[in-house]
Amino acid sequence: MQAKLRLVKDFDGAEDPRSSDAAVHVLHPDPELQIERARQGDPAAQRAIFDRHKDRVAAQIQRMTGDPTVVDDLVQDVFIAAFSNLRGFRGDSQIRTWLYRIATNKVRNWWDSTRRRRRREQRANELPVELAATPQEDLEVREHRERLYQALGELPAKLREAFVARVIEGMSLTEVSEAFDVPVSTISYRTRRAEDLLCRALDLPTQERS
Amino acid sequence: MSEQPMATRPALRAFVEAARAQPIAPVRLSAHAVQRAWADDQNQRRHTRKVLALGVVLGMAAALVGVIVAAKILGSPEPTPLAGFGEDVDLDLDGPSKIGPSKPSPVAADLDLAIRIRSDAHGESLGVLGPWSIVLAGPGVHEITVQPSAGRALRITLAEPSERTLELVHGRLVVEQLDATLVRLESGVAAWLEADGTRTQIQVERVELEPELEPEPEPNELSATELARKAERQLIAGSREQAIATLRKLVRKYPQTPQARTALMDLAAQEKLAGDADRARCAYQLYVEQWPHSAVRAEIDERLATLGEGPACRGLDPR
Repeated sequence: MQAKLRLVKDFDGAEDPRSSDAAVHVLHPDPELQIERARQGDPAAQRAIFDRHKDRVAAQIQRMTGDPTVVDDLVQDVFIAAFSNLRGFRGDSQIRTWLYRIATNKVRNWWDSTRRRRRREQRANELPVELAATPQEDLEVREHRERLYQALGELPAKLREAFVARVIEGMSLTEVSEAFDVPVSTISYRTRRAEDLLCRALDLPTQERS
Repeated sequence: MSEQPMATRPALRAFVEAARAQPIAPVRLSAHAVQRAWADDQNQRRHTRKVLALGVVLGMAAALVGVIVAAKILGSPEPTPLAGFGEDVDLDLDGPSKIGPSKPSPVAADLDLAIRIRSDAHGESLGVLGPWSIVLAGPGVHEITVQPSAGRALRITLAEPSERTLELVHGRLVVEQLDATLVRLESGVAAWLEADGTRTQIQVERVELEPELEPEPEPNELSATELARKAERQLIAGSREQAIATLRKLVRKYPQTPQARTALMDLAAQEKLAGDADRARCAYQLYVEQWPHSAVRAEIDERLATLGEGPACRGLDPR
């Protein structure tokens, strides 16, 4: 099968989170052909898909977990699952959305196991959390982040995922709705509900912005 | 990009900003590494499928054997050997037996695979009457081992000079037929079959067992992911020492993998919780050596500073 080549900026709408302002046109094979070849086990096509989407997946994972140390592992898990299930990818959703859903599931599993581990360790050791001596500003930001992700870990998965996608990642309602395959109104409700619960967990006022 | 990109609750804004300010860690994973891991995963799945299929086949075979044995027991007027398996066997020591004396068949038969005999006898001293029946007809030393087999027992006829019959359900039995006959049950369950049909259990004389003749199979080599999951399970179960051992194995066997990277962090934390600050320090230092530009480098440096100085490290251990 010969790959058709065409000049595109982004064949499936994926954006590199660290170079979104780069207006470089890159020569890519036809995405459908690439997926079809990857589906048939073509290593070059698999590598191309990985290289194309790894940064977006990594960014999603880090925003969802708040833990940079787990990103590589989870990215690997996401692409292993993707390559194993490419035959089931119907192509009626963008591969970016499909990968987003896979990554969401992997992160959900990670939260479950991490939450269990943290609770166990807290019970077993009851050691105080070590706060490193860093400049005050950094420390404050880090403390905020730590507290936020700790509170996020206690939220129901669907509320947490909606909040991270909508508020932290800054995705549009439509994008999030498409990513999770639920109505826009559901995403809106989940986000507001997550915010309420986070405010309570963080001991913050729950008054809405006018 | 979004209609309402920020939290509607003003109080949350600082927290959201803090989350957004965290730099995205660069992906150090290569496409080749992912493809290798994917291939490993596929192999593991294939292996699991094979094991499951084998289990199903064996289960069906066992069920079939059970049906055949049951049919034989229910349908045949012939006496059956001792029914039993392992320690649950019911020898019915006082009950009458319908088993008559065995006579050698002119046709040689193959023994069942559950039976193993080592004998220094020659020629016709050892006769096979059927898959579960032998006759020891002449002088010699015979070591007989029977693996547990549902509903089966090996019938042993001692032709001369004792002219007695016994049944070995499972275990190891030694028969010395010289001037006199000596029978020694070293392990398992066996019984004399008396002329009137009753059975008399033979006592085990020596319980210490010899080492297995077959070597233990080597456990399959665990992949980095499997070791990581094993350590995770051990941590969840509260087995810190075991988890540390697994994590150290993972780091040593697969030093360049992403799993090792995470394992080093876990290992350092667990070593510290276990009270071994030097080993914790060595784990952190190894991480820094291998991934000097990691996004968590600053965090590790802080933890190293907290741990203080100590002896130099060689790999995961202090010198």
